[in-house]
Amino acid sequence: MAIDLQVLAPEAIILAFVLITLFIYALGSKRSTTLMGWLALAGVVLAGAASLYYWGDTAPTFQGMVAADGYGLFANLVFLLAAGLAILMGLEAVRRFDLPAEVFVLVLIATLGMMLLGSAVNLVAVFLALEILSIALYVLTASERDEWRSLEAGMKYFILGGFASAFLLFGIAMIYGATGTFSLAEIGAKGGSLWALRDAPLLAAGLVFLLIGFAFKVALVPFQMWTPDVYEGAPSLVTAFMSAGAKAAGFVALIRILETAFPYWRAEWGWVLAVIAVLTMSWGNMAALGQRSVKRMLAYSSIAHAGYIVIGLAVAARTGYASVLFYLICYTLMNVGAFAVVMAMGRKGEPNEDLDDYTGLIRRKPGLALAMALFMLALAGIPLTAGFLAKLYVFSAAVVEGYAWLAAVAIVNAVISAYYYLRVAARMFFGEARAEAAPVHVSAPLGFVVALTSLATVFLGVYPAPLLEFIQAAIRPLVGF
Amino acid sequence: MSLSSLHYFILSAILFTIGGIGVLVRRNVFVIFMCVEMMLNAVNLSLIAFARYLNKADGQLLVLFVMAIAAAEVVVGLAILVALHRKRPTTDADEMNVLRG
Repeated sequence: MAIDLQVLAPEAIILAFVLITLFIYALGSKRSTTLMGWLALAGVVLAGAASLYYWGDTAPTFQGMVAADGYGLFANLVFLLAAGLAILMGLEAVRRFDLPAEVFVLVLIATLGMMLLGSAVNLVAVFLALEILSIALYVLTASERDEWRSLEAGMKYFILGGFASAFLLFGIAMIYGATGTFSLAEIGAKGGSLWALRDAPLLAAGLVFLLIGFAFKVALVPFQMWTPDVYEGAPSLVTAFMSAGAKAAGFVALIRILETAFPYWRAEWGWVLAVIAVLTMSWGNMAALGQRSVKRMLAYSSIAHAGYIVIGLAVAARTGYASVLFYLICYTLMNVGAFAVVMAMGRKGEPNEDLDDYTGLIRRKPGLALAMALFMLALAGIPLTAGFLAKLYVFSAAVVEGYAWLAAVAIVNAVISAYYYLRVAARMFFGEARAEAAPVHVSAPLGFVVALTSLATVFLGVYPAPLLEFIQAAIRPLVGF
Repeated sequence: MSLSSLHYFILSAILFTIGGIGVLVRRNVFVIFMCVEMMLNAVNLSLIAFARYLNKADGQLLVLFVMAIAAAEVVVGLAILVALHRKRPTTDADEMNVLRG
């Protein structure tokens, strides 16, 4: 069987740059850190270009392990966007917070895992890709080695991540026992004659365990308890990267698995996911209301946003999946932007994450305060921002597919969430800064991240049409014409 | 009575449950690591049993991958634990409580 190597060209490029940056790290001195950062960024850009260049739908290759179809290639672009922004933040973080230069290598490895996860069409590949991603993220979370809270977050993430992987693997084993195959397409075909299948209960149990594993990884209630601690303790660039990229990878893979391998149970898993969506967004928003730490508030908000995204999964169909992909892009932009501002506020040993540190920011750093206000409005879903359209598409997909009650619950939640987002904006504009407030410094790469994400947030909020058409083309291999 | 794949699956589920409960109730980080390993190895047992029952090799192939990944995972976990231990000499999970709220 011939193996079509160009199918994995974007992944191969990332892998090559992992090796190059590691080599430079092994040879280099303190000065090579910046070089590694720029090389990692070059790798991300090249991989993005390769994803666009090889655009098209190819059959599964590598013994039926991965398929670089439009869906997987589009997902690559989302992950590479998150990775590129994280690397730019890293260029500042290695200096300001004394992070080791390995963060660039680890971000690339995690991105490789995400890209493989987005293209995986076999449960073995799904498991391996998810572990490449997760293990890199455990190290990234603990990468601020002289801060206790970063190490503690890494340890917590490691234990619960391993626990979740075991559930996922047990689910895979049960599905294998019931159908005799790891291939998503073959599982889907066997399930068509399901009731003739003696092992249908085993298959159902396998799906439940698989869902539990994914729910841990993308932080859905009731498997979200690790999220606030890990997101707060990890360095900001890592939190931005995993709340945007890793979550996107989990959702992209989950959509492919549910749609390819379990279409015959769509009513059942749709119902379960609808309940999870309600619990997740409500819990995230309620918990975020009382937070004084802006970073921890953003952690809870990311749980709430995962809840909105699950609505798109629950309603399934073309409109649901398209709205999920659009949401993932918008969320990546506004969320990474918000964490870039959080990072700009901090200094070595002084995170400056309390609401009081943001009070009166408009008079100290007007540009930064305006950008943060924009991200807060976007996360709350105020019109003319990407966040509004993202919510609108998810909710309207829910209404169209007959889940109007779900959309109603989500709208109530969005209104509640406006309180804690707008509180940050109000404090920045109308409060008096403390006299002893630390000076805020924004360097060029960090300023570029904030500027780029805020411009893109506004742009997608007023002119989403090209991206939406792109998404419609991307989900075609998954749901047909 | 001969052993069927169902027996192996039930044993594997029991081991998985013991490991899972261990992760949730034990406080020593090393014991928690071992419980996670036990969960993964419980899954390996059922994968091997299913592969034998189905007369296919791919289940056993996944077991090899799982063992490699479990080793990589433990290396990372122990490295984080060593770094933690340098800051505060403890292996008790209850003392990792700075992050809360």
